[in-house]
Formats: sequence, C-alpha cells, structure tokens
Amino acid sequence: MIVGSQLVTAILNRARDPQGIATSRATCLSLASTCQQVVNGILGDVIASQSLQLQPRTLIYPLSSFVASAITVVGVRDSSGRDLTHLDDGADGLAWVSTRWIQDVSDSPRCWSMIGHDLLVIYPAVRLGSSQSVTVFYSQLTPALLNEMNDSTVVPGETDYAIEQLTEALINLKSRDYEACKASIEKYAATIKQINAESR
Amino acid sequence: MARADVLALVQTLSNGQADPNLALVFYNEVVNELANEEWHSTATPLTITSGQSVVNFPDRLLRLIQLIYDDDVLSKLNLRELESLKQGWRSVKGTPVAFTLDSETVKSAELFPVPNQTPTPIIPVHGLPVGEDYQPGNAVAIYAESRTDVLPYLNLPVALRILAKEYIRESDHMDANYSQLADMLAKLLLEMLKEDGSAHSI
Repeated sequence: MIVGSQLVTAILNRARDPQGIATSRATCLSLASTCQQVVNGILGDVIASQSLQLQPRTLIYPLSSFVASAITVVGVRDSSGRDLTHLDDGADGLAWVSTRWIQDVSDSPRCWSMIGHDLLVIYPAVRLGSSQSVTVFYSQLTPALLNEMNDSTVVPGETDYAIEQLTEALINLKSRDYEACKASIEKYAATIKQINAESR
Repeated sequence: MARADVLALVQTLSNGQADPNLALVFYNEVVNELANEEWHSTATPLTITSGQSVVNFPDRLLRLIQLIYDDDVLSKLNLRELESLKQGWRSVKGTPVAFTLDSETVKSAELFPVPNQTPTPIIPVHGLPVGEDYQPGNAVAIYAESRTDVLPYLNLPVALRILAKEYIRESDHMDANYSQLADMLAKLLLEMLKEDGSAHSI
C-alpha cells in the first residue's frame, strides 16, 4: 500500500521523467489507477464479498448486474459457511453434470461455475418457496486514484511493484521509448509470475 | 461510461495522434473480437413457433455458447450429420434435440426436429431468462454478445488493442513498433485476466 504521491514519484523516476515533463503527474496517477484495477483483477489481492439472494429455480446470474464491482469470482459460500465446489469448463462442464442443468433444483446449492466472464451459475437452483442466500467472494474493481495526496493504493506492497512496472511500460510506450517499454513489460510479467508462485 | 473512458485512454497513450472517429470504429471491432474469448456472456430466451424450425438470435449475439430447449441442452450438429441421422430431417416434427448453424446466412439456427408446439412466451418479470419466469417449451440461448460498454477492467487491454490497429494503418504517424508492443501488452493482460479466479483462497 503506497500513497498516490509516492507512487507517481516512483513511476516517473523509473520512466526517467522525474519532473513529469512528458507525462504529467495527473496523467501518471490516472494510468496507475487503471493499472491497479487490472493488476488486482489478475492477482486477486483485494477480495470483497457480497450477499446474493438466490431466486427460486434460477441458476444464472449476470455478474455485472448482481455484483457490479466484481472482476473475477474466487469463491461462493452458502449460508451455513460451506464453500460451494467450483465446476470448471463453464457451460460444457455443466452439461457434463446434467443435460438438463438449467432446470435442476435442490434443497441447497452445491457448486458454482462461470459461463464466459459475466455469467455466474449457482447449481442446482433452490426450490420455489425457498429463501436462501450465498456469499460471493470476488476480486474487487479497486477504487480510482483521484487525488495523489489523499488516495493510496489498496494492494499489498509487493503488488505495488507490479503496478509501477505496468504504468512505467505504458509511459514508455507513450514516449515511444520502445526498448525501455519492452524491458518494463518483461519485468512486469516476471513480477506477476513471482507473486503468483508464492503461497498466498 | 466505459467506452468514453477507453477512448480517452487511447488519446492519452497516443498523445492525441489517434483519429477519434476511427478509434470508435476500432473500438467496435475490438468488442467483436472479445467475443471469441467469451468476455461479455449473457443468456436470453428465444421465441419458438410451432412448425418453424428456424429460430432467430438477438442482433447482439456474436458467439453462441449453448442452446437450450425445454430444459435440455441441444447438440450442435452439421448438415452431414443431420442427413446421416435422418433423410429428410427437415420434415420431421417433434421435440428438438439438436440444431445446426450450417445452412443459416443470418443470426439464426435450424432446430431438429421441427418444434411441434408454440409455448407460452417468457415474460422476464424477475429480470432473468429462467427461474420463476420460465415457461416449458421455450428456448434459451447462452452467448457472448456485443456491448456498447466493455467490462470496466477491460478498459486498458481494449485501449491497447485499438492503439495497435491505429498505429498499423496507413497514416502520417504509422508506427509498426508501437503497434506491435501495444498488441503484445494487450494480449498479455487479457491472458492474465482470463486465468481462473478460483485459484485464490478465500
């Protein structure tokens, strides 16, 4: 976690533009804000949760409508505290379980899946007259960094490096410094790989 | 609005060189390309009419993921498979079990057998295509669609893809190196974002 002003200073120093001549501090902060959202979508450092009231006989929930600030669903937990099993392979995986999956009902849901990136499936559906909810855990669309004096990143310190490197790559691209841009992209990919490899 | 944010990002990263009108054209192209990776998935009911084998898809449909008729997932077959299954398959009536896209020139599918009942239409009071609103005998299409606004975390990869297209076209600022790097970074970010979120612990 790092304050916006320190983040901008670090990025501009990396991009060899400490005075913010080619890229203003405001532009740098805006790019870093976008990069933080993408990096958190990849690493899932900031996880939030939201209750989802299950509709009877309904399995399909548009994620961007029901959980607007979600990037990726990382887990679903029912009201008893049990984690639902994650089913891989989206619609094909559900069809393997049952070719009538869309109308399967049960006393309680057992698993969850994603079809594409915007449809959350809670399987099976709950019966008519049943009132149940689940808690959806998701990697959050982080809030925008608007004011470098007041706003800070919300990811752990090691992930700040990834944000700096990605923003540096964008600034180098913008400045047409292609060798530096390529180097920044490679550093960023290596950082992501290293962070993913660590037990979290 | 995500589209406005993407176009603003394009102008920022191109230092104002990107043509704003073409940027909008490229934006629509990139949104269509995202359908291959099923980013903007949705589900909607389809209108079924007794005696009509052709069912029309919504205009927004770009890539069909699954087609369901009356609770059952329909199998996707090609014309040769249908012909080997039944000679004169188009005249068979019953409950559809399969569909083909091969003979269609517009966004539609041909069902086999031809539906022999017209169901009560689904009226989505609860805003969802299935569940309490579902009426037997209807079809549901699950597909990747075209959207005006991309998902907000896709702003950066989409902007980079637009820039890749912008800088490879003939212009006074054509720059193959820029285009290549922008495209590479866009692909890297999309690949990373596609990875399964369930690997994280909660």
